[in-house]
Amino acid sequence: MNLAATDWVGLTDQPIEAAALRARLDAAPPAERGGVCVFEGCTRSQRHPQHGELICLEYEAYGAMAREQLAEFTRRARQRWPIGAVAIVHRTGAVAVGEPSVVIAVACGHRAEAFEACRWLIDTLKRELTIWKREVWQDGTATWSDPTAKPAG
Amino acid sequence: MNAGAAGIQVDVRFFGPARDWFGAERAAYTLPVGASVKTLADRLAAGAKPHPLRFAVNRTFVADDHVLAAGDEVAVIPPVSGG
Repeated sequence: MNLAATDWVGLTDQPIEAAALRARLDAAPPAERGGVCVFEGCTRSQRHPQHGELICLEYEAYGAMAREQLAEFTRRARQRWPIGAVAIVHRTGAVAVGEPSVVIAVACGHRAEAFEACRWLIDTLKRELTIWKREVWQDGTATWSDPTAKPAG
Repeated sequence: MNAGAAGIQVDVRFFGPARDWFGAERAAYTLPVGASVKTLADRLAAGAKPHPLRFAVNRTFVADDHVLAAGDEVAVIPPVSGG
């Protein structure tokens, strides 16, 4: 389960510092980070017809498995693209509207593969990563998010 | 407990909405020697739940015919909603 020396993955129950995560990519030599792509997934505002405005999303993880999966995703991405460095962090706990729940930063020699690898990582994470979220509404109601009920986002 | 006659015990963990569907976070199940994930899924009536469930054994997704061993940690994984 070893990561490449330049890569880092993790879960955190604290606000994500995207700039600090991005800075981890500087571990790669400059020739391998000519293109850097950073994806942030943030809590969207929503209004529920009965429960009012969305206050936050509450994430819970099967942490031991999720950390191993994130490492595995980076290894699979490295088999497909010439990656200089990858850093991924996902939140647990309450993530307020507008705040990021996940940040994926990828450095490659050139932009095309950085975009592709980053896109593949977020798509794979959304399909496979053992994390679940509850929507917490203005009236105090909390409902499990149903990933099968709406387009993936 | 006579292990030979009683079979194997596995540690079953329920995550996300599956915790509500099964009314538990974790439970020990005793299964016959040679039992597969499908044996456990049938015992749990997993097919009757609101969404299809996947299973992970010792933190890796497995197919229904995966044979369980004593002491395995079996996670019941409803559709994930990270990101």
